[in-house]
Amino acid sequence: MSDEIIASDAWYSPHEASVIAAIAHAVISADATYGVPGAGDGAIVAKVLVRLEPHQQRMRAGVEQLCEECDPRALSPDELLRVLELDSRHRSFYRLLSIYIVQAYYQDSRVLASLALPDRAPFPEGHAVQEGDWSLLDQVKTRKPFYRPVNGD
Amino acid sequence: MADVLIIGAGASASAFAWSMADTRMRIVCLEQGDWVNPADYPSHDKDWESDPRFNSNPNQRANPADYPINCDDSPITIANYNGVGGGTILFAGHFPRFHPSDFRVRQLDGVAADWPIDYTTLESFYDVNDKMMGVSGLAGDPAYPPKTAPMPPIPLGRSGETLAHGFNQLGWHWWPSDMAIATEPYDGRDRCINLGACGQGCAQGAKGSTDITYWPHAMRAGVELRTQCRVREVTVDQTGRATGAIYYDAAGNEQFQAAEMVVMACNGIGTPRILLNSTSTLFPDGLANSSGELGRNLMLHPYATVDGIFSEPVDGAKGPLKCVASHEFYETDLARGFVRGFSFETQRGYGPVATGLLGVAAGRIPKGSGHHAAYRKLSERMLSLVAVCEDLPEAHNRVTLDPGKTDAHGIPAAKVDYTLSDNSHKMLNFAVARGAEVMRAAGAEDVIETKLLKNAGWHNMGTARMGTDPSTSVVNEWGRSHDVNNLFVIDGSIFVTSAGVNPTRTIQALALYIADQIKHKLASATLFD
Repeated sequence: MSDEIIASDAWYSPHEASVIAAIAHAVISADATYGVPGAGDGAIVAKVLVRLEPHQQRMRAGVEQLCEECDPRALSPDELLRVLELDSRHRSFYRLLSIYIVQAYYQDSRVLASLALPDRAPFPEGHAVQEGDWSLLDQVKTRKPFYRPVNGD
Repeated sequence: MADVLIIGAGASASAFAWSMADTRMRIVCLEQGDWVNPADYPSHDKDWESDPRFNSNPNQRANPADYPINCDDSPITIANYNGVGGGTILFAGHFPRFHPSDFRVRQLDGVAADWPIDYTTLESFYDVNDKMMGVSGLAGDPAYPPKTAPMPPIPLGRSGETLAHGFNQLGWHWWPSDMAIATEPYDGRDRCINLGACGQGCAQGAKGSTDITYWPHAMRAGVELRTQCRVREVTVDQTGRATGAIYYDAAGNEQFQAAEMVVMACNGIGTPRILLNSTSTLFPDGLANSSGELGRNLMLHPYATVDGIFSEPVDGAKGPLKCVASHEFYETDLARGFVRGFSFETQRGYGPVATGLLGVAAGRIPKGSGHHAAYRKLSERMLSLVAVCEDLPEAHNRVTLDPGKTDAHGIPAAKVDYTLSDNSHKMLNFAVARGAEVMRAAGAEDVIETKLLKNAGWHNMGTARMGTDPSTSVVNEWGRSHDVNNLFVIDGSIFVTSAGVNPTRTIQALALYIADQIKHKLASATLFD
């Protein structure tokens, strides 16, 4: 987890950014087995924060409420997840934040490489899709028309 | 003064404008949104799955062209796109026709009402529309009367093959989907290259959004399309005839466009919104609303989904979103406990973000420890069946004007009040069970069932329905208002029933049919009789 997210003109304070990074770290941790960073990685959190800008009021309120209860940065990932998931007051904030964490994480080049997924825009290269076995349709072709008749048909 | 003023530039307006252009009349179209530059589509970017500009929920997207739609009292939220091409910008291109029985549900099943027209009436217009939109498909589907497609079908792929095995094992119908997607170069468009991002706009131009199908032809034929022009109301004279529309131009200035004939094409939400906003001494309850039916009978197509998780890779986010469809449960079988039925369409697979979000939401991917191993079991191994359930018209499901919300120009927003019927609940439960059955038959190791998709109110129908009785319908059997004889509605608002398939192909066939009727009646000087 990185705590180097500082941007004086951003909507979030360094404290708010560090709390969100702690949550991201808890939601998706780094894993050496797969060679992937955690979502608390500085570059990933920076992307999360930028995209959360339309929700800044809700995020600020959520961070503030969480910090009234605990110091999220002092908790282990499991402890922090327990707080977020068991206390219904955090549900809305946590659900929205989780969406943005997952979005940013699964667009990171290191993560896509680990999953052997294309790390590029779909256009203009496109993708190959196999034609498929059209003989599978033979069984359906033997079926008589079964659309429902109406008067005059 | 325009001869014909069309409000809206989506699926129906484009087809109607193109057909009417051969009259050489002055045709003006006002669109609240703008042209979409294909270079702006998200598939130009690696982060294509999460571009908020192309979010299908207008309240979340909140582009300048969007107007609020209050869905607080609906289990399904409205999806749309406001711009040239309308919803076809974001639609998947799944392009089925209605069935003949869909026009006769009262006669066949004793529910809802019959349409004042039938499948045979629309058949030739379906054919014309297929050519203009560029439809790919395969002839011979036993679920339909004979029909052809101008282009060969999209590939089955691994996902289509997988599902085909499941359907075949159960002896159920399936067929490659008719798609408004070019599988070979067609009418200036290039063929599909399997971007996998149909739902965010097609950068390749293979998908038949009407900004690249009908509109270029209509404009070359002389139709004038003005963008960033938001209509506030349709105006009338002291005799009750429509005189034109008041709108706000791109600079926010109020303008008036006079017209001999006004045509509403703003979809099942936008059309009643504008007509309800068009009040006057003669029409205090909104224009074309003497029946009180305007805004009522909203039908949305409740969607259920069943995701299958397989041990081997399927197509993931590669290829057109849809590939095969099943109409096995389309027609009424009262032994199932409900009337009417549904079609299954497929979701070929998911991209990396959608996989993560869906897996987490469904409890298949934990947060914290175990996340990565669980994600890998789902990555490129999920595909989905979507049940498009026929929604029957009910008067209490309706669009009204929101008492508090307005758009950026101060025009009252739309409010949706909608509840799922008991029939829909039963149909959704049945569809989920059958979907799980076919997924298991196809080899799925795990199945995720979602009885009702919330963010799926794409198909907005019925709010200005057609009929021969002015006391129970808003427009007549060729789209003309019962109350105002130079006001027409041509979008999904005029549907009498919803069928159990995507409506765009039928919306466009209807628009072409209405244009044809108007041209015939113009020729015989009976249009305004």
